[in-house]
Amino acid sequence: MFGKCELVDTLSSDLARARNKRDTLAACVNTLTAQIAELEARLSAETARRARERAASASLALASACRTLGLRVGEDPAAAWIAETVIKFAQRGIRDPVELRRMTLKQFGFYE
Amino acid sequence: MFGKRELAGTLSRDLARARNKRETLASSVTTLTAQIAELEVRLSAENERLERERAASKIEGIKKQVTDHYLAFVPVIGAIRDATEVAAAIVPEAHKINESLGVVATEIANAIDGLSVELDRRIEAARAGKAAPELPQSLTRSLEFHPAK
Repeated sequence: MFGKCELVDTLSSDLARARNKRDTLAACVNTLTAQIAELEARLSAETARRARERAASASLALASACRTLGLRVGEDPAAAWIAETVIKFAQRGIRDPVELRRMTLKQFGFYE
Repeated sequence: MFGKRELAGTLSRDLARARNKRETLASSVTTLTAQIAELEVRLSAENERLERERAASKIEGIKKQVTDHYLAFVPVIGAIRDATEVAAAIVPEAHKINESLGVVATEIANAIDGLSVELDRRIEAARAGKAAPELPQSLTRSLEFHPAK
């Protein structure tokens, strides 16, 4: 009889332990989910910031290159070629506006 | 510039690590949930088995009470029959009482045998889980042991 009760006790304590462990792990999962959401938000903000930065860098490089070549952005058709070149280099990963400008000008045979 | 790139890289790595960790933990939670369900089933089955065992033991106790009281009743009937046999020498009608006692004793013996068989059947059924473990209150109350005052 005692053996039978012991089995119930063992099963009950195993069950309690398993439930505790599951609750603890589930709490960890919830915490991690919150952390993941936060990281996703930060990464998204960082990605957006970098995109803005790239756009600003390309814009700066384009304006500077056009000024050097005596072109007016939005008015001279040749400025569109300069813009395409700037974008091409920017897409290759060049972020620095000075470097972007230098390489764009070089592309058009203008060495500084 | 590089610092900014590194930030995105670090964030991406942290995110991947956190997602992996969460998936591992979620998998453990799923495994534990399955184990918990299994333990609950086993515990429930064990509790039911104990309940059936308790019911069977209760019926066994009742059967023992019936048998004990019957065994106490047999010599009493025998003694009364012996006494009426003696009395018949004085009052011949006492023979009838003696015969009646014999009939009553036989009927009671048969009834007790039948009851014992039925109780054994109930005990077996309770242990096999074929019968409801709860005994009817009327049965448990009517067969409670009442010592002679």
